[in-house]
Amino acid sequence: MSRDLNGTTGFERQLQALLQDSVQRVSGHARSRLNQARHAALAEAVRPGRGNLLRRLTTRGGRRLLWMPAAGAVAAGVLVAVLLWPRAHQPYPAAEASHATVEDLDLLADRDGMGLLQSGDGQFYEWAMAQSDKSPPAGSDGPDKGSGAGRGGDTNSG
Amino acid sequence: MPAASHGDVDLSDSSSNARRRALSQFLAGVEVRAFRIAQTALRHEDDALDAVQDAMLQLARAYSERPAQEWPPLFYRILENRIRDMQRRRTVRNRVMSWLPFRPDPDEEEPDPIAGAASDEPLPVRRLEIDESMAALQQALEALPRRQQQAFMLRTLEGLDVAQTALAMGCSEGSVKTHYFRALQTLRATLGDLHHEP
Repeated sequence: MSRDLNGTTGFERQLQALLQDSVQRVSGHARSRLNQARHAALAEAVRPGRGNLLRRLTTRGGRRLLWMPAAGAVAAGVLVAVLLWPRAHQPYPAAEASHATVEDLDLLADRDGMGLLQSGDGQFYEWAMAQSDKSPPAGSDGPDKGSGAGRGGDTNSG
Repeated sequence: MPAASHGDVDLSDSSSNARRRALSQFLAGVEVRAFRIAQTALRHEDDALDAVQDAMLQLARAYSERPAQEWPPLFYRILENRIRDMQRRRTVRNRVMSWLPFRPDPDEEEPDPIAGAASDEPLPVRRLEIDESMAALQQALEALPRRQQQAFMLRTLEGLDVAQTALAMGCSEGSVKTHYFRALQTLRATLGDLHHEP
């Protein structure tokens, strides 16, 4: 060991010898625990994947920067999928809404219906109400067919 | 090893085995001295063992791939950080405990029956003299400021040179020399001439 200070060599040698002696006299219990700790550390060093991951995260900052956006994108994708998943599997409200919108447009575009409203003839509506109160015949596609026949009959008679 | 039994030559495996052996030898070589350094700083055997164990784990996890000549300063740097963390925690714990109306007496810890067992080996006078000198040195070391104590232990016990000690302590080489010189001055003033050289 190099000495950079003069005049203390003998004293240092004495201190060093005392400290070395105290090292030799460390208890068996402590040595046993140190031995176990060393083996645990060595097992940690050779554990597959653990060292590589930590090395990427700690010693190679550049790779860490490449890692984090990819992980963030995957996490965001999963989050969006989870949020949108229930709505994607509810086709009925959307289909009904679009169907109702088409029917409304169809009614508005129906010149015959507007003609009936403008003529003030309520006979068709009374008839339609009566038809809807009756139960439809079994297996028939009745309401559309019946109403269409009624409408056609009234319009024809009118 | 399975690779060897099949006659394959796996260079990466042999390299990692060699590195593992080197790390094992390094840790086996420093562990007891590191324990003494931690024990002097923490004045508690179990805390010192925990600190050394943490330092070993951290070195193996994060720096096992680094060149072997870098291990000593890295290991002692990690150990020093652990010692400092423990000292801070102990300070906080003592402050909290001082506010409690009832606190356990640290001297009431259960004694280790094995450590306390009487030894059959007779203690010669020489052994007693050395023990007295060591007790005085230990007391003087514990009274040193932390940085002086650290510089002294790393240089004298571990045998690190000034540059390695500076790396381990995270300071300049000039600071290491200053801390070491002041530590020696204090020890000489406290201990005088040691009469019992082992």
